[in-house]
Amino acid sequence: MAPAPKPRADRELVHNRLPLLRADRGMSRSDLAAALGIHYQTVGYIERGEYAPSLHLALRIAKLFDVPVEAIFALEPFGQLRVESLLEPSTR
Amino acid sequence: MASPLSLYRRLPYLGRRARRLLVAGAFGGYPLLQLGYSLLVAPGRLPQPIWAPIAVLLFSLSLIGVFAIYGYGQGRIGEARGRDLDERQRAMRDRALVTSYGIATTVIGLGVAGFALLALDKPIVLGFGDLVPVVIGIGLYLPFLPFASLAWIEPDAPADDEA
Repeated sequence: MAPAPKPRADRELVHNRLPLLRADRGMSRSDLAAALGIHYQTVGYIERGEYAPSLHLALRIAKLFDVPVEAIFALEPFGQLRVESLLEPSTR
Repeated sequence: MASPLSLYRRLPYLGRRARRLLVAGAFGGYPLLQLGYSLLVAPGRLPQPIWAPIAVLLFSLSLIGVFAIYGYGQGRIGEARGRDLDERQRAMRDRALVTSYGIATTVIGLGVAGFALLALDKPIVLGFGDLVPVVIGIGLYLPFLPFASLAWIEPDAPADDEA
């Protein structure tokens, strides 16, 4: 029997470290949403992997946190990593 | 006790299960009313005095459902008044429009195909009385189909999704 197709959320799942970065900067979802000009629920959907942001939005998020986009979003789950290790020594 | 206005303002925050029940009620009530009348009342199987409250209940179900669906969809769009919808909201709205277009096309296609099959045996003559339920159905449902699609497909915002 053929395996059941994976739901869309699984096929297009994008893992992210957004909650970690947001907590590190002391930002609420509303703060981040306001800075990006999006709805606060959209931040929640992105954090839970239920919505994959466009490249444009992902780049804007990376720019806001001053980290490379691949430090926030990835196709594979992130390992345990401290946010400080993502930052250049000059930005700490 | 909650006022009608406060109840209306709560509509955009309904959970998906409640929304789907409202969509089912809205889109099931009026067709069931027509079906019940055709199968039970018109042939004389059910007296009209018994059918009357059931008919009022079914029509009310449709009206309340349509009103609630409209309140939900309008509220979701209304949240973004004064600024553009963000990309997730636009994607959700586009999905709702595509879904409702697909549903409308399928229903119209099946209806035309059904009439064509029936007309193979003998010509069908439609009077004004036959078309009234169809016109009411179109007027009742077609404008709200995108809102109903949105109410059906939009996932719940989790409980921890505070602003």
